[in-house]
Amino acid sequence: MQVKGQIVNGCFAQIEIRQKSHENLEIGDLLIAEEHDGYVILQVYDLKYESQISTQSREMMAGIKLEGYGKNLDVYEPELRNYIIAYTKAILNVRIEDKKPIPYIPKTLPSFFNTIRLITAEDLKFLTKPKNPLYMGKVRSGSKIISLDVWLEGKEVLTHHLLISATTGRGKTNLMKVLLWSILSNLDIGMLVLDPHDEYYGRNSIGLKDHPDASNNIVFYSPNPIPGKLNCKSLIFNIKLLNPSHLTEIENFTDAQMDALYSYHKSYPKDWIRHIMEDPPLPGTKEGTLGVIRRKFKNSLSIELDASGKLNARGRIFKAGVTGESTVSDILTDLQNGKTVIIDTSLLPEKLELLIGGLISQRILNQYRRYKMKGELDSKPTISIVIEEAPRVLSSDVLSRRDNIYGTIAKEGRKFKIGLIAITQLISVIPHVILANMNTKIILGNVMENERSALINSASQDLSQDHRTIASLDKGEAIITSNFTKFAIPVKFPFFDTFGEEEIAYHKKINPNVKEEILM
Amino acid sequence: MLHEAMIKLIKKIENISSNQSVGKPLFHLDYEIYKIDSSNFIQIEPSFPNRKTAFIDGGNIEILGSPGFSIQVNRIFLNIFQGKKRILPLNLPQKIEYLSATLATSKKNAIFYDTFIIPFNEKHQKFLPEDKDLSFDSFDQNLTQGGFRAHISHMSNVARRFSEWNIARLMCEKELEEGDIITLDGPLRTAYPNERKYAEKSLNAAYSNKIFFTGLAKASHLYTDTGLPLIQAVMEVSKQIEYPLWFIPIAEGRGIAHEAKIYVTKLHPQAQIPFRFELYNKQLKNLSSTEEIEIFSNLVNNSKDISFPGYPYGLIDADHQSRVRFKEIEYYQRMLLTLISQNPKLDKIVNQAIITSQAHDILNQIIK
Repeated sequence: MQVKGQIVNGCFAQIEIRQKSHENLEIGDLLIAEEHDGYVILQVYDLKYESQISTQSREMMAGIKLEGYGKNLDVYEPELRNYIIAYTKAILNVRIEDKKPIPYIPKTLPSFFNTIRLITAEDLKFLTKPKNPLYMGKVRSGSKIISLDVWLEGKEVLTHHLLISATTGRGKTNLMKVLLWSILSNLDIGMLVLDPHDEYYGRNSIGLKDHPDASNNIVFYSPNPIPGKLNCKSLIFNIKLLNPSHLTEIENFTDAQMDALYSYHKSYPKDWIRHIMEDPPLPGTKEGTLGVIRRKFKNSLSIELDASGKLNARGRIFKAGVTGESTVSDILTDLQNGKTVIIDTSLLPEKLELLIGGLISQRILNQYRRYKMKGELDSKPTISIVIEEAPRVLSSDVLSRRDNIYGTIAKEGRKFKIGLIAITQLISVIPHVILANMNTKIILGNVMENERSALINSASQDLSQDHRTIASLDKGEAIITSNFTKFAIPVKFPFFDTFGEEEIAYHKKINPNVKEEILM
Repeated sequence: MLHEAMIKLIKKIENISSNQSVGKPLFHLDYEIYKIDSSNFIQIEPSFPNRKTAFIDGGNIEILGSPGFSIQVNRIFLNIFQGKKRILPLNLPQKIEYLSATLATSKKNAIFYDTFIIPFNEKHQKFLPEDKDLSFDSFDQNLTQGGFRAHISHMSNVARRFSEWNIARLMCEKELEEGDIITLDGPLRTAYPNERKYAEKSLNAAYSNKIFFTGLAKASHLYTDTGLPLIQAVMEVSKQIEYPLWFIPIAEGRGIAHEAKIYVTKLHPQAQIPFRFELYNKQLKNLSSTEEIEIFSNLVNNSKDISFPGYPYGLIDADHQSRVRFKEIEYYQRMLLTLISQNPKLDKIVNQAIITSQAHDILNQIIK
C-alpha cells in the first residue's frame, strides 16, 4: 500500500490529512483509510499549505531568497517542516460482512493518525451493473480515472428525473450522447430527445445513428431529413393536432381571443383552425377579433387563405389536409416500443420548438394516465423526455405565468413512468419544488457561485464542502448526486467520438458476421 | 510631562552608553581572559568534515502549582546531524518525557525543596537523575535571587539540567563515535548544587570516548569591564574583520565549576548575532588549531537554515521538539485534577494550596 498521507486533526466534516512529501493529492481525490472491519472512503475538498515555521519567518525567508540574500542558505528538512494539509470528508463507510463489502453512510470518524492511500477499483466493487444500466462514465479520483464503470438503474433514475447542469463548454452534449448511446438498446425505455442544435443523430459526424442497434431503435424527425436514410422522417404535423392550449405556447392572446379559440374548438373539435380561417365569425365572436387571430396564425403557423378562400399551410412544419395527422401517434408508438426518437428543431424558432415538444409530451402524459387508470402501466416502458435549456420551460418566471407540461411532468410524471432529463446552465432560476423532484443530478463544471450554491442546496448528498470541487471540474468531469447512489460519485465521461468508435469496434469484434448496416 | 521625561531618559542612556569602550571580558576568579582584539579573531574556513553532531535541548512547564508544590511536564529531545542530514539514533530514544513534582518540606529547621521524577515510559528512568540529588535548601545561594527564597517552580529546571547532562553522557557512551561532537543548549558551567556530579560523569565520558563536548548559548549575560555586554563588544570589534565566518576565544575556566574554553562565534555571513560557544577545555590539550577550526566548521555546515542563519539547525529542531506548549497545559491539568479528585483528602489539600496563590489572578479579574 502506497501511503499518501496521515490523519492528523479535524472533525467529522473536516478530517485533516497531512500529505506525504512528494505526493500530490488533488481536489476530488478519493482516499482510503483502512479500519479493522473495513475501510472509510474520504474525499479531498480543499488543500492548504502548512508549516512548522511561523508565517513571519516564512515571509522573511522568502524575502531573503527573492531579494538575492539567500546564497548559502537553505531550508533544512523542508519535507518535515513545510507540508500540505488536505481537508477531507468521509463519504462512505464500507464494512466487510461475510467477506462482502457493504457500504454505509458514515457516522463515525476514521481512526486517528491512520495512514491513507489512494482508492482502487477493488475498493468500489460494491458498485454493480444494474438490470437497466444507464452509463455514467468511469469513477474519477481527482483528475485520475479509475478503471471502473459507473452504472445507474436506468428506469429508476429516469422516472425520478435527471438534471444535467454545467457552464458552457463543460461537456453537457457529450455526456448526453454517451448516456443515450448506453440506453439505446434497452427496449424498456423510450427516449424522446428534443434536439434544438441537431447534435445527437450525427448528420455529419459520429452520432447515435452509428449505434449498432440504430436501424431498429432510432427514429429521426427533421424539417431537413437526410434523403435515403431509413427511419429519417420529415417533421410535419397536421394543424388538426393542435388545440387552443398549445397555441398559447407561441402567441399571446387576449381574453376575447382565447374565448374565440375555445368557442371554435368546441364547435369544431377536429378541424377548428380551418373553420377559424375559412368561416365567418361564430355568434359572439367579433370580426375584428377573428381578424387578429387569423393574422397571428399566419405569422406563427404559416397558414393563410389561398385565392379561393381555402386554407393553405405554406410552412414546413404545420400542414392542412391529412398530411402529418399521425405524426404524434407514430412518435408515441415508437416510444412505447422502447425506441429513441430524436426531434430536430434546429431550424425552428424557439416558440415552435416548445410548441412541438409540448404537443408530443402532453400526448404521452395523457396516454400514460389512461394506462394507469386501466391498470396497464406496469407493462409499459418508461419514457424519458430530454429538454435542453430547461429554464425556457422550467424557470420560476415561466411557471409563475402559467404551468406547462414540463412542470407537470416534473412534479407528477414519476407516477406515470414518465421522466424528464433537463439540461441547463442556470439552475438557480428553477424553483426548488421542481429541483426537489429531480432526484439525480449530474454536476459538471460551474464557475458561477450562485449556481453552485443552488446545486449544492438541492443535492441528494451533502455537498456543502464542494464549492471548490465543483468549480475545479474540468471538461467531461462530473459528480453524480442521486437518491439511487450511496455517495456522490465523481466520474469522468468519455469523449463521445472516441467512445462511439470503441463501442462500434467492440460490437464488430463480437459480431463479426453482421454486415455493417446502412440506414438507407 | 511624559514627553520631557522620556527625552531626559534617552539623554541619560546616551551619556552612559557612549562612554562605554569595548574593554576586557569580565569574569570573576578562576578564569584566564583573552583580549577582544581583531588579531584574536580566527577565520573559519569552509570545509566538509564528516563529524556527526548531537544536539540536546529540553523544556518544561508547570501544570499545577502553589507555594507548597510544583508539578511540571518535562521534555528532552536529542538529535544527530551530519551536515544537514539527520541521523536517527540507534540506542537511545529521541524524546524523553517525564513528570516532576517538587514539594516544600521541613528539614533541619529549614524549608527544603524535594523533587521526584516519574517518566512517561518507565524504561526511561535510567536516563534521568536520582531523586536524592534533587533535594535543596530553599535558601541555597546557588538558587536564590536577590536574597529571596528560591521559587519552588524553578526546581524542575534544575532537574531538567541534570537530565540533559545524563543523556549527554549516554550519547557519548552509546551513540557517538570518536571525533563526533555533542552540543548542549547553554553554557557548560555548573551552577546548581549536585550538578557537578552529573557534569563530571558526562565530560569524562566525552573525554574517554574522544567526543568533543560543547555548549552553545542563545543568549549571553556576560559583560566586559566597561559595562558593555560581551556580545556587543565582540560585534563592535568584528567590524574590522574582513572574513564572514569567525570565532574568537574569550576566556577559559580554571575551576571545576566551569571546565570550558569560552568563545564567541559567527557561523553564517548573514547571521545577525554571534553566539557564545564553549568547548570542554580538557579536550583542548590534544587539539591542533586545525582541529579546533574543524569543530566550528562542522557547526557552520549545520547553521545554514534560512529560518535562522548562523544558529545550528540541530538546536532549532531540538528546541522545537522539546518545547512544552501552553496549550498542552490544559490537557495535562485536567487529567491530573481528575485523578486527584478521586482522592478526597488530597483533593482538599491541593485545592486549598492552589487558592492561596491566586491573589494575583483575583486582582487581574477585578481590574478591567
